[in-house]
Amino acid sequence: MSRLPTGGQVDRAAQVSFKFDGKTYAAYSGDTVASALLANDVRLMGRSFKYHRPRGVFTAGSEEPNALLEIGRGAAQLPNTRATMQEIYNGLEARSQNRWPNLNFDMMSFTDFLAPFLSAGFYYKTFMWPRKFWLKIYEPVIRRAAGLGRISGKADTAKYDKAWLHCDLLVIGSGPAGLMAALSAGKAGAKVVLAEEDFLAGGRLNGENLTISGQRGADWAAETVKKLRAMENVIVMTRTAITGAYDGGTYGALQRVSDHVAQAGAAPQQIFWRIVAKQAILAAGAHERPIAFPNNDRPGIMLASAVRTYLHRFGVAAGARVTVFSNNDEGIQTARDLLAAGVEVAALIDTRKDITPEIDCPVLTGSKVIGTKGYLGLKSVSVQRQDGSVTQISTDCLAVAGGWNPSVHLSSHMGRKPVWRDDILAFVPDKNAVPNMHYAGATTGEFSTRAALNSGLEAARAALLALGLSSKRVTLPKVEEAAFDNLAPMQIEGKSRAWLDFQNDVTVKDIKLAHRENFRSVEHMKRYTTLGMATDQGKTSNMGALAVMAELTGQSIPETGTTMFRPPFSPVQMGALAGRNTGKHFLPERRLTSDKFSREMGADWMEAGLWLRPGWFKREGETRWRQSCDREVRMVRNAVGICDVTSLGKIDVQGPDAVAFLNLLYVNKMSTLKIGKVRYGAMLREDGLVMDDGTVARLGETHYLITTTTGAAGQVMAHMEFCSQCLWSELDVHFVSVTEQWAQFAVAGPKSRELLNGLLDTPIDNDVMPYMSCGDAGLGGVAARLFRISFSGEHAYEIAVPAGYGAALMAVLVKAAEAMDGGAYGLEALSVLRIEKGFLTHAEIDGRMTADDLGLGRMVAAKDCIGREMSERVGLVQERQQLVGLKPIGTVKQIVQGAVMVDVGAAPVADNLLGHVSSTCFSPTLEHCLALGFVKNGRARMGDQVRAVDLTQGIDTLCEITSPVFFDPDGGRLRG
Amino acid sequence: MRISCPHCGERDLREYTYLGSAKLLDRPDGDAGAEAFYDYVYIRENPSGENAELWQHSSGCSAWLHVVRNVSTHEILSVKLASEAKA
Amino acid sequence: MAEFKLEKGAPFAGCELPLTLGSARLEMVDITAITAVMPLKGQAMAVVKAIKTALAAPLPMVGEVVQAKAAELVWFGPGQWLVFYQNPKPVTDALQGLAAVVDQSGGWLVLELSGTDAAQVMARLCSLDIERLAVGRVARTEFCHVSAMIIPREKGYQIAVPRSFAISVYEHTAIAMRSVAAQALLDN
Repeated sequence: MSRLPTGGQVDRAAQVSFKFDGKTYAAYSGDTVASALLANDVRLMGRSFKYHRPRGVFTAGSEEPNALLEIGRGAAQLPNTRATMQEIYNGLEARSQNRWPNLNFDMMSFTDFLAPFLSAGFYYKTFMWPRKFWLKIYEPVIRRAAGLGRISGKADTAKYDKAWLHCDLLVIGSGPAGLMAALSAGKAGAKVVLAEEDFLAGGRLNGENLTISGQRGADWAAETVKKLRAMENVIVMTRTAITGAYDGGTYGALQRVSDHVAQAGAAPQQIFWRIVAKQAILAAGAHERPIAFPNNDRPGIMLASAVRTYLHRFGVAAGARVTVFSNNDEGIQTARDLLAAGVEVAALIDTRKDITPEIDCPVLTGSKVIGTKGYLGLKSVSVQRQDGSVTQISTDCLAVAGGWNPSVHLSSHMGRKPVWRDDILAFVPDKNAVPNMHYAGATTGEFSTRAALNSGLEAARAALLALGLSSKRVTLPKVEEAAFDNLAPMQIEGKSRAWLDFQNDVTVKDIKLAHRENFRSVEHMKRYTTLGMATDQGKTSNMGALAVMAELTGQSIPETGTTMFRPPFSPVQMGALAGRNTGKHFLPERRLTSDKFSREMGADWMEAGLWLRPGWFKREGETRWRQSCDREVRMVRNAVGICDVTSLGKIDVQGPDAVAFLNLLYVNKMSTLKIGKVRYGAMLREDGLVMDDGTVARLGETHYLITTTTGAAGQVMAHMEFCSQCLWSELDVHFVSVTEQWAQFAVAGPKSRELLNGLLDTPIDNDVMPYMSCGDAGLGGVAARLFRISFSGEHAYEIAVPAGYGAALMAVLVKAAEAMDGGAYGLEALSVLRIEKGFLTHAEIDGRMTADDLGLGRMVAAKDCIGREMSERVGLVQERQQLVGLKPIGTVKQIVQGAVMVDVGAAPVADNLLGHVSSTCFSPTLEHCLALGFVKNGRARMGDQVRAVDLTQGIDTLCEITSPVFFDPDGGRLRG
Repeated sequence: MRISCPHCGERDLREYTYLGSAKLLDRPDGDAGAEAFYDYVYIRENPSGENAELWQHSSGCSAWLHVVRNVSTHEILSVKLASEAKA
Repeated sequence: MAEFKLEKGAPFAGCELPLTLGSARLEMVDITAITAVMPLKGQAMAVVKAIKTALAAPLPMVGEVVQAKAAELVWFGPGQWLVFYQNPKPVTDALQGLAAVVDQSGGWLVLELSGTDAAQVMARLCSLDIERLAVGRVARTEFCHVSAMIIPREKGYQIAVPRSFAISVYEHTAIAMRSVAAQALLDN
């Protein structure tokens, strides 16, 4: 093989150099790695998956099964890259895969000799004995031997974008059909996106020597693309594979932005697009069928259409002495094209008996290839002539033409299988498979160029009609060519293996084995043999396999059917699906108004949903978080602490029916709540279990402010919207989230009132603001709201200002607190404080607890509300696990969160489970570990001993069951 | 998947949240009894075909929507405001 | 009682704004006051009349934005509107007893994305068919995976996001702007 002196669409003025397996070669801009290697007489490109047989490139396109290379180095190394799709650039480094130590001499090739033991499904029948060997020997060895390419193991440094694109018409494929469709629709004024997987538009036109309207087909294509790019309403996207068809006219598309340059720089490597198209035209062409014959997998054996593509598009002769093997006219065309380019054609072998092609090379009709020789590359083929005699032909390249399979994949992505056409002996898309999708060209069985052009126009007409646009006149270009006859998929028997799936090393013998073992449906055959499950998804093998199975079962090919095609059509890197949402950007971040201030104070951060909240504020001398946390707890209990609690949901509720609405949402009777008062409440789900807890503050006659937990804010809002819009739309109630509107801070501790009175315009006392009250307040020139509520169990308030003033207020509050031996405190201390008081969070309200389980039974009023009826069903009332406090009383001082509760002396197994530990902490106030948890009939077992057992860490703690309110049980500190 | 919100027009699925069967619109009266609520909360027809569902345009206008969707073909047959579906 | 004044904070502190990358520009839009207006049942006409009197403007239809002399009114959802303006008092006073009126001035931040690459940047951040969104419309949708309001202007797009997402939205937008700018260079 070599580069021909002229011809091809590569840029012979732009020479580049690249490396393959450490050796440097020359190529031209416009080459793929495959064409560049062939041009340099390199045809051994890989070793097969199972048998490690030497392999070369088989195709010139996206369906390539063999030539899979590693491209790049270091973190950017990409395995399993099709050499036929990788564009050449200067400095490209490529390596072959699945061989050791090198491609020419692969130690693992002994597996080929074990072939009789390694047929399909061998691993279902082996590696079972002795059982011990699996974990230590078989699995590690198989793991190392399995797979093709290797990933670097380093974090991917490439950047990927994700983006959206909307259009009237998506044309998939830029061959003659797609180009005509895009041109016609573009002229009619539709917004058109033309997507082409290759870097050069034109489809088959680039691989053939056709004449269209007096021009070379490839030139006509280039001119048409130029016209399209000049249209403002047309977007031409080359290097863009449409990977999937989804509901609602949404298509996935992978655009390879920088895969063809050495450095992406700040540009993304790839973009994963979601394209929303009102109409689509699938003009994806067809894949050539191989012919299965013994030893049909040697380097140098390739599809005839690929040989023609290497010739016409890349100016490369795939062999020095080429043999053509065909069951249709394309064999003749291939031989003609090669001869015209000055390439020696050893013979044209045609299976058909009654043809008499006029061609200047040896012709064998009614003949077939029955064997090949040449381990590292094809050396000769054995041919059985019509009369039965066998001859050897010395050759270094065999071009195989077995007919065409329309590329129907995208049409099947929504679950409708393609339909068989007896007249062309091929599957074509079901016209109704994808809503608003039309089909054109070889995809729909129109194999000739003229038919493709025409069907592109027809498809565009149909799409434009659906869009309500009228087609403008577009002249159909003239093409002269013969009709094409597809023959049934063909395989040739012989003693040696005949390959069907090159990538997963599945042969005709394997299909027969599957049939013998009764895996006869195509779906079983696929999984049992793994045919069609490799990265090429069986594009060159599916058809051949089901033809074999059809023959074995005596069914027709359509009766046998195809397997399901699913997205993606071609491989998509995980990074492209993640886009920019990786690492810190995996989720959006929500920051408090006090965020900057807290950062300057050196806070350590914790995630609460999407919010970032300070966990603790480390002071000088503190080296471990517990030191900070314990200090903050003492600070709140003894002086005063400030905590930003903005993240809790706040919803403003107004209207004449506001209280009626709240009565239906909460278990409590909210109608007795007076203006200026606050009440703790719980909301249930309709199945009777507690959904969330929070407070309801009555600010005015028909004006309420409710709070939720941070984590459930969105859920509660959606629930309220559902109740208002769907269940009780007759109620005159209106609400809106004010979580973001108000920055809110807890001021907690015995000195809290003193601190506030140093800041407020009007001082407060226990009469003005008793426990569980609320009202307007002013400070620093700003209108604020004050709530006397406590999550710490201390005398405490929450003060809210419009968010713009949040940062300033935090600074003022912390300064004032520090002047009183207090300061800022974070989530860890907040957690300890509330556990000491038996207050609840979603650690307890985990969706499995009733109000009564949580000790809130008394709050449930005798009225209808969401969940009231179901909360009283038998299963939620009897033998329940109830909230209790737990205190360690043995030698083990630690209680582990998530530990299971069992009685003393009982084994920690499912039958003996009494409950679990929901929250734990070390209490600096009481100086021992505390926990909240659930124990069956816990309230009746005060003082009993139980065990909290953490089976993952092996920690078994003897506990006493206590009230969950460990500290200040009478609540005197709250009410002062 | 795309759903046409009566307020906002056609939007991608990611803007919506699915709740469940449109049966949830017919909440029994508070005193209807345990059987009625058990049926309301748990019992569902599960046709392989047209289903009436409730979706919220949660990342959009927050409207609750009554959607009739064929769960086999994924065709959406109708979308209307849930508040109007009840009457 | 201490004498002190609380000052307004800078939500985008630390972020380079305005930011110009390639042919896209991102800047913050100052807003003074926002009020959420939700007419009580049976008061829709009265609310329309009160707004007409106070602002000389109609209440927007579904998905509409109305420019008045001293305010911009935006449809927010079923039975909900937002009014963006300098001086809320005349409006909130006029709506007493007619509508639920809630201050939202602190809750939203507004950015404006403009330039010839604005639509390309939007495509990376938003699933909306942005080219089909006409001036005079508002779209509530996801922007950088955050619930936002998008209002197209003559020169670009205004994007309102909840305050707490400020830094996150800025960073994602800047990344998209940088990417689009770099890709434009590559294509050349």
